[in-house]
Order: sequence, then structure tokens, then C-alpha cells
Amino acid sequence: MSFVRVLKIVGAYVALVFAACLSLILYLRVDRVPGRHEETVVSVWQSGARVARQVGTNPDALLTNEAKLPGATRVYEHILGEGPILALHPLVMGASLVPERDGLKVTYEGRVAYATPDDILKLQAYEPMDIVAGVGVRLSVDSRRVIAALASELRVKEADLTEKGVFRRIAVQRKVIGASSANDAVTADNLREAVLAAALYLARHLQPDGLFRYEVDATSGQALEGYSWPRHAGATSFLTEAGDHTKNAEVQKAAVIAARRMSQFTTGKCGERSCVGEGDQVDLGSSALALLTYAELVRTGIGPEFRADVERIADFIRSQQRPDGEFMHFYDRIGRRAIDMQVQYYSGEAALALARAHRVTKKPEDLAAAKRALEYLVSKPALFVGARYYWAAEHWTCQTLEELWERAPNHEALRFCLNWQEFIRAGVIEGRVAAPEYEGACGRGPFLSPRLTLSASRMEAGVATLAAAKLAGISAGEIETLENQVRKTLGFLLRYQLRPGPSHLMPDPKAMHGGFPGSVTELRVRIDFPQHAGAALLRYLKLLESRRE
Amino acid sequence: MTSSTLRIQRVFAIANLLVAIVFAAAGFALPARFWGVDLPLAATVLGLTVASVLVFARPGLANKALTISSWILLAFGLLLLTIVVFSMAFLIGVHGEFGIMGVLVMCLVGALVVPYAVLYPMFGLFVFGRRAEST
Repeated sequence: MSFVRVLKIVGAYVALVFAACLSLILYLRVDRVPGRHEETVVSVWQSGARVARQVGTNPDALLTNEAKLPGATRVYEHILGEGPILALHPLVMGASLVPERDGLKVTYEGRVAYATPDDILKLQAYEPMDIVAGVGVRLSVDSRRVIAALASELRVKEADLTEKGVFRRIAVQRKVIGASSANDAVTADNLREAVLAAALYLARHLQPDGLFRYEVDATSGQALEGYSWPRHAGATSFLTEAGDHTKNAEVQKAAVIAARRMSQFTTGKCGERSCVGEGDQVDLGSSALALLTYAELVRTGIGPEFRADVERIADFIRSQQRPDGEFMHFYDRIGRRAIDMQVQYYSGEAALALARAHRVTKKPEDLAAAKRALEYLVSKPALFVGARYYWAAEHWTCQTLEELWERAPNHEALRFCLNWQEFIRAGVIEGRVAAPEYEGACGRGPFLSPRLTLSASRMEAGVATLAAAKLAGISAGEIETLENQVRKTLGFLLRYQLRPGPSHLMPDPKAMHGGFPGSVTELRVRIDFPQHAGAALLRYLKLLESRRE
Repeated sequence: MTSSTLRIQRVFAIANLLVAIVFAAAGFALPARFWGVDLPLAATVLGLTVASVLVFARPGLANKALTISSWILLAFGLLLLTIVVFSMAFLIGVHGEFGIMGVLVMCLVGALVVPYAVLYPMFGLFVFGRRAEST
């Protein structure tokens, strides 16, 4: 066969595939023009539960009496468009909705039921982690749970529904009646309110024994299993900084109680030295973030009682440092030896903690250790292009840069952090048609909703880099680009803070007030979510305030 | 058969073997077995390997073997590309336009498939087609 013939065959094939793909796109697409809709699903929610629902073309006339129930919220979910579902296989159906934007409509023997975005959020069934062919895949929706909910709504068996039901995707625009839109203005006043709300969330969830309610599902009000000492220490650190800035007594008191818990019950012996953690093997992160907290408590005068803790934990962290500046991240208490293994975050945390501790201890060895750690973290490894930690978890590194700048400026570290922010900017969501509210968020792929903590931790570093860049006299253009990015991303965080957020889905919205959820679709608040977001907002607030002075 | 023809055939035979090894390793590394993937992959690996062996063992059949193996690889490459492109079309249909990240993902996947599984076998067909015509 001649090559020309081969070219013709391949060309025809490509044209055929192109036409088929175009047909598929046109078949699946739905219109999302805001305001252009015929039907509206009207729901009334009370204490986090849906108590009534009607569907019609004149929503204002529906469920008016139910809306008068005490504490009731009426929600309109306008159906902007409908599209087909190709198959009910969990993999296909699971990828057939846009998270937080799309729901399902099923028609079964003449009856119709809806699983709207609110229903799916309430189920917490968006973006589940599923195992497909042995690989963890994050789909758009847990179709099994949604189908089960629809079957329950129609009072039929799931098997009957999947066999005889006709499923359609619906694109929805939500309007909560009586709710004001989220305040995402990046102004000093709004930042102040947001920071205090985040700190009060943590203070409210601190129990008398000094432990936080670690993770709370906003849609059920239930605390979830698990605890992490590095996160306890991190949350306490934010409480201290926020308590110092806001002068709020409740926040300051919570910081001291949570720090005492670490100091009195979780500090043990690592050989001759003191370290924070439980069990036979402890990690460096718990001690590092505890040191960060103790240093802040002493420096701000909120907790002078922790001065001795600063000295002894700093001593332990220094002992974990290798000559090249890297840290050994674990300690074997039984064998009384450091374990030279590394995981993400801990080296940056230790560097920042030592830099802060130096302000209290004034020991040159603390400053020297912090400097050496920063130098190591921003140096290029000889055989690996992904920086020391995959070019992904540098938020502590860049905060260390800023913390040390006035005492030990490191221009290489500044360039490293500016480059890292440029890399982050490339992944910031802009102009996503299906979800304009995600504008400014650090994305985690084109098909998933953004996680708030990713944006938050990167903006902690972003603001720190911005502050150091200003001090270093970096060009105005580069600073402006960075600041624009910071403001956009902070705006996204403010938009999704639970002030109050989708409070109609929560049994106890007051308890959740000020928290930051894991993502746009994951309405769970773990203690490190408000910590990182609150700390990022507080950093920028301080920067704005310093300009006024 | 000229020595330059022999040399070209041997270069393709070795290149085919490398492609076969990469595909076999990738197939082996997959965390789960599914006939829809395993069968075309095994056929491609087998076709490439047999053709390479024939180039050295039976030089008289080399041209024909390399032509057939190029067709097999091209078919596999187009199948792979079709799956990728249809997946992307499905996601565009569901999500609408999804910006530069989606385009980047698509280009990355394309860059991993097109040169080795589409352009390379087409080049093989060009070379051996011309040689078949000239002999």
C-alpha cells in the first residue's frame, strides 16, 4: 500500500473521530445562562433538614406557608438546562456532573424526583474518592449514594429505579431567599472580621480538656474521628497570633489552654531532651509547631509561662538537624535515636519555629540553625528537578524567608519563593465557565472544585513572599503581579468562609460560624483549615495595616 | 538486498523492540487486569517482537514483517488516541470549557502517545512502502 493511501486512511479516521467527538460534546452540553430557566425546584430547609419541596415555573408562589416555619429557609434551585447521562455505571455517572453545580433528575413511572446540588451537598456525595481498576480516582459524584437517596425519595427499590428510571443531568443556579451574598472584599475591615471569626471558630471548638473537636461535619454537626498533634499545634499557633492581633480574650484564653495541653500532657522525653508527641516514635512537626506557638505566646505576652518550653523544644529541634541543614523528621524514643527520614512540611516548620524562637531566646544557635535550614530548603538538588519537596509544599519555607529577612536576608530564598508563586499563578483558576465563583482559587485540576486549604497555605507563603519582596526592593511590576494574585485568592477564601455559608444545610450554623470547609463541596471543617486560611488573611491584614502607619 | 536497506531494517527492528518493552512494562505495571486493555496491548507487543525477530532471523521477510508491525502499532496508537480524545470530549461536554489546564492535560497525553504510537509507525509505513514500490 502506498504511503499516500496510508495518509488518506489516517486522515479519514481522524476526521471521523473529530466529527464523533464534536457530536458527543454537543449531545452532552447543557446551557448555563444565569436567569434563563423555566422550572425551579423550591425547597424549604429547617435545622439542616429539607422539610418541603415543590417544583414549578413560578417559585415565588410555592411553599409560602412552609417558609414561615420558625428558622425556615427557602431555597430556589433554578434549572438552567438539562443533559443526558450516558450510562449508570458508577464511573460514567460519577463523572457526568459538575460538582456543586449539577444535580440529577429521575423520571420513574410518571413520577419525578430531583437530587439537587443542595441535596448532594447535604449527602456529602460530591467528589468522593473511588477505586477504579485499583487506582484511586476522585469522581464528581458518588452516584450510588445519590441513586439511593432518589430511590428513598420515590419510595422504590434502587434496583427498580436503575432499571426503569430515566436519569437526566440538571444544571442549577441556586438562590437562598433572604441570604446576602458572601462578603469577599479584600479590605482591612472584612479581613479583621474574617480572622476573628476563624479564631473564634477554633476557640469554640476547644474542649475543657484542651483538645479541639478535630474535624466537624457541618451538614450533620457531628465530630469525626481522628487527631493530629502537628495540627493541634498549628491551630494553637494561629489562635495565638489572632489573639495577639485582635486582643480578643476568648481567643487568647483558648490559645493558652491548648498550649498547656501540649506542654503538660503531650510533652515527653526524646532521650535527654523534651519533645512533643505521643507513642514510641514522635515526629518533628508536632514539636516544631508547638515551638512556634510557645514562642508567639511568650513574645506577645499572652503566655509568659511557656518560656521554658521554648528553650527546651528549640534544643530538641536543633538536635534533629543534620550538618547540611536538613532535619531528621522522626525520633525513636525506645532506641533513643533520631530517624533520618523526611516527609513534607516538617523541615519548613522547624526552620520557621527556630526563627521565631530566636526572637525569644536570643540564642545565636537558633538563628544559625534556621538560616542553615532555609539555605538547604531553597538549594537545588543535584539530581532532582522537583526541588527538595517536589515544588509543592513550600509554604513554611517562604514564611521562614520573611521571618528571617530583617535578621538574615536570603536573596536566593526570595527568588525561590517568587518563582514558586509564579508557578502557583499558572494553576490559579480563571474564567471557568461552569463555576465563576472559583475565580482566584488555586486549582487541583480542571474538573474538580478547588480545596480551600491549598489556596490558604499557598497564600500564607504568598503574603510572606510579598512582604519580603517589598523589603528587598523587587521591581514594582513583579510586586504588583504577586499582590494581585494574593488579593484574588484571598477573595476566594473569603467567599467560602462559613460566614455563614450554606447555613440551611447545617443543623447548628452558629457552631460552624467562621470555619473554613475542606473544599467547595466538602463541608467539613478540620482544625487546620481555619488555621491556614485565618493565618493567610491575618498576614495580609497586617501588611495592609502596616501601610497605613 | 543492499546493506543500507539491511541497516534501516535493523534500526527499525531495534526501535520496535524498545517500543514493545515500554508497552509491556506499562501493561505489566497496570494495577488491574482488564481484557479490553490487555488484549490489544499484548497483540501489539507480540507483533512488534515477532517482526523484530524476523528481521534478524529471516531477512527475506523483513520488509513485510516491519510493514505489518507498523500497521499493528498504528492501529494501537489510533485506538489509544481515540480513547483519550473521546474522554476529553466527554469531559468538555459535561464541564464546558475548562481553560488552559485542560488543554495542557490533553497536550501532555497527546505528546506521550502521538510521536511513538502514531507518527513512528506512519514513518515506518512510509519507508517500507517506498521500498516495496521500488523493488
